[in-house]
Amino acid sequence: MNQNVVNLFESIVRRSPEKTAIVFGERRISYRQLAEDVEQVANGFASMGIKHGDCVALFVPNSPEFVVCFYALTKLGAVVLPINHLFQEKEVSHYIQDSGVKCVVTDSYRQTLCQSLAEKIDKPFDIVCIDEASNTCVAYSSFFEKEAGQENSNSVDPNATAIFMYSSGSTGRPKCVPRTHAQLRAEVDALGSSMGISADDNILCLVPLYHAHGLGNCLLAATCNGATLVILEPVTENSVPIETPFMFRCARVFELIDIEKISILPAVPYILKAMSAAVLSNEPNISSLKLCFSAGNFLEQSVFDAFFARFKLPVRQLYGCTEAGALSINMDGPERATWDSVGKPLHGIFIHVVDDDMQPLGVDEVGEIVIDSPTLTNGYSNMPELNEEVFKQGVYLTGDLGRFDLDGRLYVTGRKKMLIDTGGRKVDPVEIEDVLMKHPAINEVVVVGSNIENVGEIVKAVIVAKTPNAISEKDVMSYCMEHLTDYKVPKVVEFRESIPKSPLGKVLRKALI
Amino acid sequence: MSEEIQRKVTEVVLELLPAVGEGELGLESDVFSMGLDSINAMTLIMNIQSAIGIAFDPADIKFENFRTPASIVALIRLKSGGGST
Repeated sequence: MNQNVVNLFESIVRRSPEKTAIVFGERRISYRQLAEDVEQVANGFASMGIKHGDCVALFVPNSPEFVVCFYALTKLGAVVLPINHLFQEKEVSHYIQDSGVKCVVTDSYRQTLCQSLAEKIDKPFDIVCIDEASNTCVAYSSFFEKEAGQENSNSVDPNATAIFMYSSGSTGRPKCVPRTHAQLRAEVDALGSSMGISADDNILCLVPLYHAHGLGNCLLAATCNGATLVILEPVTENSVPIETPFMFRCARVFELIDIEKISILPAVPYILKAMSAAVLSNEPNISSLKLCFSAGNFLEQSVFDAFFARFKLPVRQLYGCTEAGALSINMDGPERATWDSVGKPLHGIFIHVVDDDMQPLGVDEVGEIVIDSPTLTNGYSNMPELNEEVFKQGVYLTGDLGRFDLDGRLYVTGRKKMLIDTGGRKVDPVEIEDVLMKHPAINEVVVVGSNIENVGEIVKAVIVAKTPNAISEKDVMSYCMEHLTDYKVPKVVEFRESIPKSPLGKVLRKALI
Repeated sequence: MSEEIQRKVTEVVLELLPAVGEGELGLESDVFSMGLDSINAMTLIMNIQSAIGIAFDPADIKFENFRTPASIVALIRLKSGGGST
């Protein structure tokens, strides 16, 4: 029975072993090679004692090793926890402890951070390093030194957890979203059939694989349909990968689209904005592209227009969430003026728009978007109260607002929940408020997203100090830098004597922007 | 001329980094580690072009050319004839 993604992947390998599965810089990896690597790495993890139900964190940037480890661990029945490779120690520590991680896969650039964590956390975990491992880490390369052992049978229960992903929410810390093998498999089936992905496709991966968008719409979409996954390789400086703003990668992206005949381009709005404005020697050849879609954030009309004006290709929108993966996609042709629609639900997925009493609304009526899908998580880990609140009557309340048009296309119009979108990254203001409230000189803090001309939305902290001048802007910044990833650190700090509130005590956030 | 370019470049960078004070931005400061991100990178390039009245070539759009005020100034000077002022 093909009830999980590994079965599906293996059937693809049997069907077309010599087809290129992954392109990464100079590396071209066939499905046969990928499957052999998966087997070796699965044996390697098994020899370390990793077994069914154990959680293993993938704390590495986009790379073929991410894909190999994902399938190797899934095959063993272990639970994969992808972690943002830009996270700092405190955030990684939270994820590792919250998920009870047994092993962290990382690279030489991040292994010191992992070693330092391993010394501080009570529950021990192993570290596997995918490149140059130090003495205390297991070298990924050692997995390949042994003769290929017996093939791991793939008899994992489809209802067992395959992956943990963390979702930013409007309340409290990021929430752990477990998804089963069957749920991932259902997502692959829904997306593949609705988008018509085939082995002829080449999918370009520009978005992070640790995120639901990259994992579902790039990694799984390609490797479970026999397509080729082209991963944008990082820029390196003295052999160390450096985070490079996407603007400076545009020329390489267009080169990849042309050379690798990319047919599907999953993106986020700022990538499309940068591509539309890219300064290039020659107009790029993107004639191979049949579908370019945006997810992760609302697509502005100006971005759609700029992209269409330059490339004559309509950017379409996909709607999804960490809790259920991809949910709908707009597959309209260029003749349709539906730039702002996220399209129709994927095959097998039901989306409804309801009022506050959970009653379905009519055409063009705005309400909360709720999801009924075989791809949907069974609920957040260890959050019974929240689960009761957002998983009601067999559906998931997304916190997004939307409406359907007469033809059944969905439009996302806003959010009931509140997140700051800074540079394409979602920031939960409550997480930053939690950190700042631990500072001894701060009495009250509210974090908001503030729009600045030519800059976009930035994180702003409005602070009431315990005593006047007890804390400076610089103190706030350095405290945040110590405890938060760079992009979560407030760009603007404002001190006030009090926080404006409504008569009912609700913070008037709009007055703080 | 060179000082004028430096002043304009600093102004453009500071405009995009509202939390950074004038005294905190040095010529060798890495603007991307001070909070400039992918979206702002594009705005930085466009704003510098309009502030200086210069058009960058595709080959100029490299990370290392825009990483510090000094590297931006060096690029502008190179584009404006390469000489010192």
